[in-house]
Amino acid sequence: MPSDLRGHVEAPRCLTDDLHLIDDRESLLRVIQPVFVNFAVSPPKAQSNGFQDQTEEEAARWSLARPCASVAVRSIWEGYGSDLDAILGHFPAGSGLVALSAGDLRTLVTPGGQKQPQGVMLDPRPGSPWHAVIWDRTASRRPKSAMKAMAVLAEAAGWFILPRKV
Amino acid sequence: MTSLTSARSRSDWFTPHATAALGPTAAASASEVVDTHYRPLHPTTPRWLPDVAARIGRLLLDAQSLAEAPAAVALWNILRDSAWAAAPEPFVSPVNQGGFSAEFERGGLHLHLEVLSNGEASVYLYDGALFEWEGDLDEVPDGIEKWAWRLGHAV
Repeated sequence: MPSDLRGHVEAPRCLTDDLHLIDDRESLLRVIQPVFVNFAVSPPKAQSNGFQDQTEEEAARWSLARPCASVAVRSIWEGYGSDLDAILGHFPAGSGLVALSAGDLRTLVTPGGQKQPQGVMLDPRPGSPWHAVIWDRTASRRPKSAMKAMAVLAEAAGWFILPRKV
Repeated sequence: MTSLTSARSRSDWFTPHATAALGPTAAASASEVVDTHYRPLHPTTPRWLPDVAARIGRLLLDAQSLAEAPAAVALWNILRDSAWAAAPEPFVSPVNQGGFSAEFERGGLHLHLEVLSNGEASVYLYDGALFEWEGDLDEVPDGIEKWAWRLGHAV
């Protein structure tokens, strides 16, 4: 995130699942940086850590009550012209995008069958009105089982934008 | 009979060259690995160890923080154990809150090992539809060595 978008500090906001603003059928775009992509397999595979939460410091910087992970709401992003650079430009070269449905995240199930529901909240930011956050509703930090479940979903869906090895 | 895993404390992993002091608890056969808490006997370190070491080194440089070094050392101490000799090469990546993780996958068996800079080490295990577990490294059912061995023999 560019430095001019940082520094906005206020009382932490409670996280609320925006069921009405973000429909279950909505597609959420998640940036996967190259460091989290296994390029040794074909097609490249997004590993679990590509779906981890930000740090507590980053959450506090954006007045979020707890660590979350950033996504872009596809329909809003498309409404602003579908500029890929507006999303990927903030991240290392070669980053890719996966698309996960809000409904799949809200009803997330681990590979072993445990329910691990995620919340989805619209969190528009300067220059990124499509920005939203997702968080784990069962733990203060997203467990590895939930990250793995999201990686499995992403693998099944295929890449929205293929990452590049740089 | 002492479990190798229980003989190690968390601080062991964060001490350089910790594995050099391991006790004589190597199993002599595959059946002994299954029936006891003895560690599998492999005469060599994992063949992928140099590549993983290089990857950890690059990630450590990218982190540009000495605070990450203990986690790198701890992960290295775990992965250079000969118990991993037959395991597939793990995918090593950084953890946002500080630290590194290694993901192994083979034959429906998934092991995600995470070592944080604050000294916490945890594991996620998924063995097909049969077993799923997540928790502290020190509390891995049957010990981490046995899962390393299972990874090496999964088909």
